Amino acid sequence: MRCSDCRHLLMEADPAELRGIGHSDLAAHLRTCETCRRAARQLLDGEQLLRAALLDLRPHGSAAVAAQAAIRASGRRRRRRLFVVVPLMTAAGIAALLLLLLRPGEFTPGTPRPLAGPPPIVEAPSGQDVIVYQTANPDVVVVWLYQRKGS
Amino acid sequence: MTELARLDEAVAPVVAHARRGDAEAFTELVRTCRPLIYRWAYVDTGEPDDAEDIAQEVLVRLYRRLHTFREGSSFTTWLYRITRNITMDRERTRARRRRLWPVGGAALPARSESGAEDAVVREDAAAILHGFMERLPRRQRQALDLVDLQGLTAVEAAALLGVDAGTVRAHLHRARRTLRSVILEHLPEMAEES
Repeated sequence: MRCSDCRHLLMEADPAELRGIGHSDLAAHLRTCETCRRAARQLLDGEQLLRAALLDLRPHGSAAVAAQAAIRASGRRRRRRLFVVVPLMTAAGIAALLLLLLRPGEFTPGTPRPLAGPPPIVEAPSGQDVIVYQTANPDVVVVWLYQRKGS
Repeated sequence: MTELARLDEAVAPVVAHARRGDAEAFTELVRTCRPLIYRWAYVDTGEPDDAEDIAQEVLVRLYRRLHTFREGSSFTTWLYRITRNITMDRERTRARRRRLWPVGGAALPARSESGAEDAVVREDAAAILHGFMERLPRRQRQALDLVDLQGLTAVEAAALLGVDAGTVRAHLHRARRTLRSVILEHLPEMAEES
């Protein structure tokens, strides 16, 4: 590789290549050419100055003050959210309770109730009486045969 | 190991305490991470005042959401995404203003004077930083900072920036060329030799 080609490649090379590390033609040339190696060194030094300058950047004020300010600001936002969330949750809870207590026409499955419509005809055997209940399931009717008292 | 991976290891125990509501641990976490957050915001926006505001907003969001951070994953990656999201939100709502910083100006912290040679080095550093901020577009600054200066691979940087690795490499090549031109302008020894 000629030095003129090398100078062109120096402008975009990876920093490791500028140090002569790796198997590229550029890295190999830099390992053998003192002039180009000095040029690469200047670029690396410039980048090191930039790295140091960015590392030295500091915002104003102390970290402790910034942390306290962040905690206070976060608390204010949290309280604002609670002012919205808590009433909503309370209202939802009250609504659920009302639904549980005031559900109209509630019927627990399995509990028979007196027949609303025309009952099926059930003839009790001699000495027995009968009561017929329609359950919540329209296909299920409870028939209660009981011994008449004194029979 | 990259600079960010080293930081992940260093802050892991502090993050664990801070997640449980330990205010002192949170302050320690802020002390460690705040300069890095500020740097990311500054490289992104090019504006020191905006970077300050963004850094503080990141700390608020960090405190509120620290309980959602999954231990075992990369804290700095998570923190970078918070920073980037806040920066993008700000850009969506306001126009960017470009300000020219004088060479050796306010972007560098004050240091005690320790000799003429240090002053020259500081001036060179300030000039290169100024060129980096003014002559590289935002995406190129981000790519070069994350890959060449902070040691991430192009794939890792692409994951942080939300683009593919090929895009990062393209930005990186252009950024290197521009930055190295700036270096040539301010370190004339190399220009004379070439």
